[in-house]
Amino acid sequence: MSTATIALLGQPNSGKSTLFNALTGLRQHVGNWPGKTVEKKEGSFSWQGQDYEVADLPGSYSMSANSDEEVITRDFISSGKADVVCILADSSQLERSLFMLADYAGISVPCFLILNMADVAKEQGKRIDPKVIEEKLGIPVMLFSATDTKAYETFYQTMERAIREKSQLNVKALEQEYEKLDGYSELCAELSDTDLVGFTPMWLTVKAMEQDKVVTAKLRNTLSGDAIRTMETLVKQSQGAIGTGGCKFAWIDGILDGAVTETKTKATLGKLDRIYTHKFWGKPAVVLTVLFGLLASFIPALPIMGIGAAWAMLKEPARAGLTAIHCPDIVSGLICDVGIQSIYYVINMLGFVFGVTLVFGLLEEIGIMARISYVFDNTMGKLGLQGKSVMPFLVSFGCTMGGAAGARVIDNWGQKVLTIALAWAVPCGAAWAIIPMLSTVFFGAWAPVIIVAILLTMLLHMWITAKIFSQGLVKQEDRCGMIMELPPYHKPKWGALLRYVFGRTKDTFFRVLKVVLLVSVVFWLLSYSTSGVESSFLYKIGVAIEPFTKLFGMPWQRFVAFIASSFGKEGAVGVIGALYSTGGSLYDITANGAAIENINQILLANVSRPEALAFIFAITFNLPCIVALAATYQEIHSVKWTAKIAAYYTVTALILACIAYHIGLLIW
Amino acid sequence: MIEMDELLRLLQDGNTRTIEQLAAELQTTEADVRRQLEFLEHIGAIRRVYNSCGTCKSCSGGACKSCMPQNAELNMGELWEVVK
Amino acid sequence: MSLNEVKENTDAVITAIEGDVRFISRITSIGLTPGCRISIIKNDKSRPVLLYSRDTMIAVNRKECKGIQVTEVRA
Repeated sequence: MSTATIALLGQPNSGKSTLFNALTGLRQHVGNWPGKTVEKKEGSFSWQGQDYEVADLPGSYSMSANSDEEVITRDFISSGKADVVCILADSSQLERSLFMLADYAGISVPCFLILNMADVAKEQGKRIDPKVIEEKLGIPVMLFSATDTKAYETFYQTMERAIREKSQLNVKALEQEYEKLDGYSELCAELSDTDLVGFTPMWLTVKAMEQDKVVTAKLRNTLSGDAIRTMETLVKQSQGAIGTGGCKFAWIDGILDGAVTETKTKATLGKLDRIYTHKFWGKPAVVLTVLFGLLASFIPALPIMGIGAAWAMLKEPARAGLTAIHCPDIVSGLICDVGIQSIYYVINMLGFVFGVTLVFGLLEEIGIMARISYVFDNTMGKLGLQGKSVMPFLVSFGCTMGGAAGARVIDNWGQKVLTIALAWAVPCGAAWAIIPMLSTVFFGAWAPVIIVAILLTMLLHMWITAKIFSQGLVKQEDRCGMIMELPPYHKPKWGALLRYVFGRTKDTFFRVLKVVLLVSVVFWLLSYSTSGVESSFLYKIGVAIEPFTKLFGMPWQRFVAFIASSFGKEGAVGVIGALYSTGGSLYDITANGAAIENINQILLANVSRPEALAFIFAITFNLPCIVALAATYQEIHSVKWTAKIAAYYTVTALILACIAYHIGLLIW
Repeated sequence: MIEMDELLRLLQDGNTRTIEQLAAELQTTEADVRRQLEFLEHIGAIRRVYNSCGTCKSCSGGACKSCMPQNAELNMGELWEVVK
Repeated sequence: MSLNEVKENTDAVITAIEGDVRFISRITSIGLTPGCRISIIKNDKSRPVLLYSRDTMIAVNRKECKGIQVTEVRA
């Protein structure tokens, strides 16, 4: 048997070259088509003892004579050199790539159709049934992907079948489309006995209507003068290529009808999203998620806090060592009470920051943060904030520093500052350790009422603070509501996330440490005394302004405790105790929250109920702590705004205390 | 075919439309509009143009990434115009 | 009509985006452009409008929705 020749025909990017290379391997020859700058690729292969020649026809859009590639392609096919033409189409965009087939229809060389890149189509959710297409076209059709090594056997069989059957494209449906065109039937009748080898009258008619130069010239040579005139009139009256093109597309749609099922990639909400976007359950779901995240933050935080505790143990040995080398008290105090103590503080808080950054970074990576924003967008919008702001607020119930660190997910600087400013109003874990205790001591069974009052005050505080601060921070035109993607949930990239979290934590450590050290030194100096509390600056200041602080229901002891509470709320109660009892190092008590025995009795004996109420409100709504202050500075990079917020909270805490005191006076 | 005529008519009515918009107005799919545009370009009925503002560096050679679209005419990326 | 008036589970095409340059650039940068086909997934009164476009789920604040003009299309 002689060798059979296959011509590969397809639009650019139909995967023709890949197929050609896979079929021929090294047995290929690349040259130029005679007289043209178009590459000519030929090769050969054998299958089941039979040799095959393969011609890779230049990639072209159609069978028209618009370019060198198209002319070469058409000439090669009409020359009769090919025994079979393998037409390639891109499965992922069949509507487009079957155009070549539609344009081929009417050429009498046997052909078969390869629906290439089946893998891509499958990925897009398209299911293609080649059997249905085969039935409509009357030629062998197969799904194929060049990367699938098993597919080649089927390819050979399909090719062999096409050669054996000399399979011809069924063009009946296409012709019916053409017959709807004005002038088609007349022109086709005119051309019915034209002798142009390899092309049917239908194909010639269509090309004539499209005013294909080569076909028109050939027809002029073969037709009689009358026939030429008829053709020209009919062509002129026709809609030309636009009409025939439309027919081809309509035919393609007919072929694909019932053969392609597209799994509608229409958006539906996943199970989780249906909960998060639910009218009623959305908010509880988000709150639960954030609280769960808060708890989860403690898991990575605990080891770091352990390190902090170990570090704090250095304090006493260090002091002993310094005393042993006759270091002056003030120096050893600075090193141990300020230096070591501050680092201990920062390490402890850092553990929490690490946990929060990790867990909430994770929530963002996975895509949950976007849902949180969606759910709270409207509520937070009323405060001039984004939906995301709810997250720092909730975290602040645990630790304000964590809230500040969590505010970094807010992309607008003004809204970030405002969020942190409002988050400060949320009583943190340390405050929650004191409030119930003090409330129970002073108000017994009424303690829950006090707690509710505090929560209500918190909401009012946030609302007023938002009004006051948003003017300077969030410009009206900057009040951008949410336009954001709800990304599909995806697995986090742990490497990148951890690198980010570690970098962030390290950065926070140094910045926060600076601020904490600075403030600690100042406070330490103010409270430094050689003999009892009375010799400290803090005492002198406290006593000096006592007439003023009395207005807020605070004698000097509690005012000092109030000031101390801006250092760390844990210490405030201890300070009071110390001041009313025998004293001791004020700084030590503040810093360590040292337990004072009989604190309840001390408090009850010295403090009236209105005063207690004032004190509770004062320390609850005072600035959260020195570390939160530092973290705020770290996040917003603005000394001015950090100072503004701090001053605002000191003043408002006193005002709230004053109000509480006077309300207390009315009640009791 | 009425449809492709309609497409040509829309392409020269003076408004700028996206492929999605054309598809919606012609009650068809984007893929269909794309292939028709491709066909019309191949038969020389329309041609692709890039109108960039021409005032910044990145404008040279087609789409201008750094500039905003102006008057639905400049910096719109790929546009087609009907060849008369 | 504007985007916030579209019912849930309907498809629409964006016809115009009205607002300042900032707003327009924010909207277009997320892929919402005139002519863009969208499916409205959720439209609860007090929530941003959730829509699907270009294979992406997008939430748009209700206020911003007013600047986005659409026409409904049959799915």
